[in-house]
Amino acid sequence: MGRRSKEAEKPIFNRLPVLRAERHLSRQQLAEAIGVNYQTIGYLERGDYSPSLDLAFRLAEFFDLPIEAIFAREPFTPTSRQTSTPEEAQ
Amino acid sequence: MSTMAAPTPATAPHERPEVTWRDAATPLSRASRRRWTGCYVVLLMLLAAGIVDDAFAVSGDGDGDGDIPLIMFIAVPVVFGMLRRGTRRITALDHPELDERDIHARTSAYRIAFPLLALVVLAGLGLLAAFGLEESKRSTRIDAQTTLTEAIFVIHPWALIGLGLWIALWAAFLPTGTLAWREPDALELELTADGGGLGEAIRDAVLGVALAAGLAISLLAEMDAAALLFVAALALVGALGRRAAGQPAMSRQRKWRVAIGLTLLMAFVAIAIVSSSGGG
Repeated sequence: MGRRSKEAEKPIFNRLPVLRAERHLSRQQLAEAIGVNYQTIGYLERGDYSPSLDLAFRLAEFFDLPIEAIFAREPFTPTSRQTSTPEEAQ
Repeated sequence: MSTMAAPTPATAPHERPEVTWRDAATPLSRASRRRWTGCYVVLLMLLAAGIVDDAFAVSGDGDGDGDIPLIMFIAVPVVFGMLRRGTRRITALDHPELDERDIHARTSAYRIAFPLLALVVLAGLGLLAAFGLEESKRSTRIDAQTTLTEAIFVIHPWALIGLGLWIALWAAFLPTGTLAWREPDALELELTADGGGLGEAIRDAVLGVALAAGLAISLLAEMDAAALLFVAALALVGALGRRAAGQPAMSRQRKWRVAIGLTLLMAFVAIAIVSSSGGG
């Protein structure tokens, strides 16, 4: 079996817009804190770009959350439909 | 890095102090960039046609001295600049602000552009064989007795120079063009979407129609002044962009620069008219 093509790769969903809004951060501020271009933050939020492992770790460290709380293979449940926080669910 | 950032209020990330015509003409959406990428390819094809065949050149009198229309010398760098700005100069080597996504996008673009350039070189060699050889026969008066082996080594030098320049234009364009074709919509598009300015589709239509009309007039009526159509459309787009951003259409300094430029342009046109009427 050969390598999967880029199109065949499953998308990676993230909660960056929610996390950023919770902390009242602009894309520019988050980008400066993480050390990337502010456009890259936008592309990450829109799902146009999947981060490297290094960038994912940097974001996790910045938000003080595990990577799987920020990125996931499946879409995140909207906060309004959650009955408990991810920490409580664990 | 693990410390939380202070929850300071969000500020506008990119407040542009002054909108120039370059900003107003920069394609931010992928759709617009793809339109201008296609336009640039057409321009290069027309350029090749102008190099190899007088029928696509101004003053084509059949003696091999056809000139490339003036509008081509304006449109080629302008459209290339639009694409370059539209990709935020990711193609600039060793740019200090490139992050991992930018570098990945740039590397992918170069990887795709390289085989495309190989195709262009092959096409260029085909053009040279098809037209350059015929040109050499005319210019060196090779008769019917000359064998193909003798003739094929006599290539008109202008065909070689033109081919070299044409391939150089492709080599400069292909990485930028590939990026322009592949990059997602820029974030600035979201910021300017409700700005009430000229929409990208309308702006592209205005510039595209002016460019097409200028090219058609230049080629059919052999009038280099038709290039002004495209320049005027660019100025209009710039003025509307400034107005949409709440700025005066032109600053005092810019008025002086534009006035000097227009004066020089009018003088150039006047001299051209006087010299052409005097000569013929």
